[in-house]
Amino acid sequence: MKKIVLCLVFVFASSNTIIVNASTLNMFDESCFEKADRQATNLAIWLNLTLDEEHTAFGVLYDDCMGDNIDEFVF
Amino acid sequence: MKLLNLITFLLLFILFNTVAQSGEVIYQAEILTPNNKNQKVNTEVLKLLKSQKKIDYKLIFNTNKSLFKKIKSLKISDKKLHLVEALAGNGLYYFQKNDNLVLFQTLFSDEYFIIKKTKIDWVITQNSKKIGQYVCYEARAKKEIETRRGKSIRNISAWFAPDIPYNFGPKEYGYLPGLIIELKEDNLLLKAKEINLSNKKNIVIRKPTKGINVTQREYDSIVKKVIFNSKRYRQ
Repeated sequence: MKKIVLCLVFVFASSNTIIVNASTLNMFDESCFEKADRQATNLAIWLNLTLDEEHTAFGVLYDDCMGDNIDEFVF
Repeated sequence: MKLLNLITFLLLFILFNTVAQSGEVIYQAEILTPNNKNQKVNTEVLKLLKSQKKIDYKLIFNTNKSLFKKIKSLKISDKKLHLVEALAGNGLYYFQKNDNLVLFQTLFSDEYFIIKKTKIDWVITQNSKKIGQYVCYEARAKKEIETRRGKSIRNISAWFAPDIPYNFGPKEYGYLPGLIIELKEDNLLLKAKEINLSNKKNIVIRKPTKGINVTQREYDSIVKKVIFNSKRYRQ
């Protein structure tokens, strides 16, 4: 019985660790392009942005994420 | 009787010469956070919007024309674009009252465009409030816009001061019986923070000429074409 409980605890603990690691990986894996795209899409919905406003917002958010080291051409 | 006529003439002469011939208004633009209680605002969007700074824009006008554009900042940190500029515009708005002409000069995809804007159909309401020393009245309008999700409606609310008898305002908005002191375009708020009227007659306002002349519909289709061909949408 003790062994079963211990096994269950072990399985539960390891699955939680895997979930935490996966979400951490997702957050850090998001590129500036993906982040800016997600944020611009959300902003466009909430602020009722026109096509070119959303495009400009995407550029602003992408630049903000990249800082001054813009060496990736996206447009 | 002759004396009375002379006094009347003198009074009229003084009045006409003291009425301002030109002016300059500084507007502060900011993005308001959405307050739709029925929908939960994405916390990331909220954080992003709250971190946005206010940007100053300048409107200059004479009796017939006006220009509206962002005030250039000398700070290096302000050289980059801000989200507020995505909404308030990063170009130049030109207004010519006598010819019912409203133009917006903007840079898109490395090319200058001069977009001819259509006249706004205002509905003047009974709502009034005092902004600074001016009693303002509210006018409302709706504008159809092109979004990524299709056509949408933008709600506009303008507070104008009949005491300042100029039909100008921020962005492409004007043609109201008084200067627009405050303007709300969906979540964008533009508020006048400084108004300077002058009786100088020689303020020169030039029509923008650099760029391809297009209508709003033509511009929207160009933007659509460029955007949907960009890497962002090709993935």
